[in-house]
Amino acid sequence: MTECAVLSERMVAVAHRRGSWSPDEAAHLVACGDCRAEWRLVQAGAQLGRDLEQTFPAEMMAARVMASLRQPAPRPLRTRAWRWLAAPAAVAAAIA
Amino acid sequence: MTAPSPALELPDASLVAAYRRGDERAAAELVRRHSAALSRFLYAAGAPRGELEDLVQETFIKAFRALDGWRGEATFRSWLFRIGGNLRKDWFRRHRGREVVSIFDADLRDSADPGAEAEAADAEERLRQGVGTLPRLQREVFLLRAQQGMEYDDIAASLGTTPGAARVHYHHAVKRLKELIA
Repeated sequence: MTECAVLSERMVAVAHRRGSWSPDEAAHLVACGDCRAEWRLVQAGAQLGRDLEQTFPAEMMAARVMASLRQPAPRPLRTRAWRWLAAPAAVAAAIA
Repeated sequence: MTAPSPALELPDASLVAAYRRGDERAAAELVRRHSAALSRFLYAAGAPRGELEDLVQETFIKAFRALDGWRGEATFRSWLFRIGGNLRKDWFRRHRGREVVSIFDADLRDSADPGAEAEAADAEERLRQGVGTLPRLQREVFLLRAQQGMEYDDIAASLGTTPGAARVHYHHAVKRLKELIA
């Protein structure tokens, strides 16, 4: 595995603070433009939409979800079957 | 002062089991635990901010009504994200051509340094748009890995693929995004 591949494998863990760069790895990042570009992308990916993490109304969402779950689940539509049965029944009712 | 709920300490699998036995507090804790991360994932995958709460709510309702579908191969969170990803796709299909990007989306944060904030928001939006151009599997693998920090095993289990294939999708996504946002 090349040094670039090793760094690439570790980028997500470092971006999510489950590890840190060794001095050698940090030096490689400075020297290698391709790895630096990937590292910037992974860091940006880890931050994407981060503000939502702080502002999302999780407590309110829990209340909304629980209220919905207490309602009966909507029944699936069985359109074709009942149409075939309903048409002759309607004709029979009209004749009678 | 009230004692913290014991649910806070429990792993997801135990909360799911408790909810299956009828404990509503367990389900509420799962929503508290995962809803913000789910909203981030859906937003990064292209869902408009104004739709996030409804999509998150719909995802949890669908998940709780289909709990038998979660057999623990993937984490509860990645399974939830898979359901959310499907609902996001359905939403786009229903609203094809009608997506409106709110002019307020970029103004939601309080800002001490408006210039730097605007630049950061611009960079984030470029990345988000770039992510939106990726094929679905590349997009979801990239977000589950880079944004959510998940391991390939978990990503693969939630997307129904192999860890090796997930790795390949991730590297394709990284290559394309580097070109797009360079």
